[in-house]
Amino acid sequence: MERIIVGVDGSEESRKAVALAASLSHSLRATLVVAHVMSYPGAGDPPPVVSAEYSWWRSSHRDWAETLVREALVREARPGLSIETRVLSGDPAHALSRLASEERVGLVVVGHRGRGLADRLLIGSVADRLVQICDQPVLVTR
Amino acid sequence: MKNLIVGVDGSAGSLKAIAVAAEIAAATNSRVVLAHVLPVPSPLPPEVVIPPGWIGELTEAGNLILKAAAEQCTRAGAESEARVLEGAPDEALARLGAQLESDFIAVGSRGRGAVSRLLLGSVADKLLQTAGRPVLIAR
Repeated sequence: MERIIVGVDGSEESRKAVALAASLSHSLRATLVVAHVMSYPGAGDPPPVVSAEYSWWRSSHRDWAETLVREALVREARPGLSIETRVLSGDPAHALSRLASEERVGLVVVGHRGRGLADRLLIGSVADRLVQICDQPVLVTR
Repeated sequence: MKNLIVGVDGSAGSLKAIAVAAEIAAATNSRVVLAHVLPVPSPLPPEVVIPPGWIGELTEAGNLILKAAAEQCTRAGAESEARVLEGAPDEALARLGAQLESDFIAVGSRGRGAVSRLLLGSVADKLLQTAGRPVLIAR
């Protein structure tokens, strides 16, 4: 396979998923794509009212997201492994699934639990929803 | 990577799962464990009488599926071994995973004959919730 995507969200579970995805990518000589999906109400659409506060908040969120994927890149960098990063926005499961079909990806790796107990109770984890919609194979780590 | 379990039942998702596991096994010098769970409720209720030859036929069908899976692994350059299991598929696969300390358990998203409007079959879903180790799901 040419490319492996791993979803990161700053959780301990996602750190483990990145480590496994990096080692698999290295063995398979695949490019590792580290992706974070910024997710909040209206993340996928232009906001109805663009206030100064909203723009500030959104750009800080983007800074945090860029830091998150960059940290993973720095942590897993090793000779012979090519790593790319992506920051997306929208619903995490849908965004990862779309990225996987756009980029000729052989495998998507995610940790079993995403952040936030409330999210988990209300809508299930990203992993649970991703395996339902993703056309590419999904490896859910523990 | 040590060993990778693939639940095989001849479904499209299971064939895809074998392909991914074999590619990973070949690249990491690990072994694919092909596991077929006999589609028999077990233990059978006492009042159920099994028609003569039924288990034999299911076992034979399972062996054919396992043989094709082993050939698929060989073509991908991966070593494999076959196991025939009994019982509830998710429990049998999870038990084998624990026993072999497998790196992951791979299954198709839906079993053979599962209603196609189901996005995720019950075996894949239960494994994901209860296997306690990485699970790979292929469509």
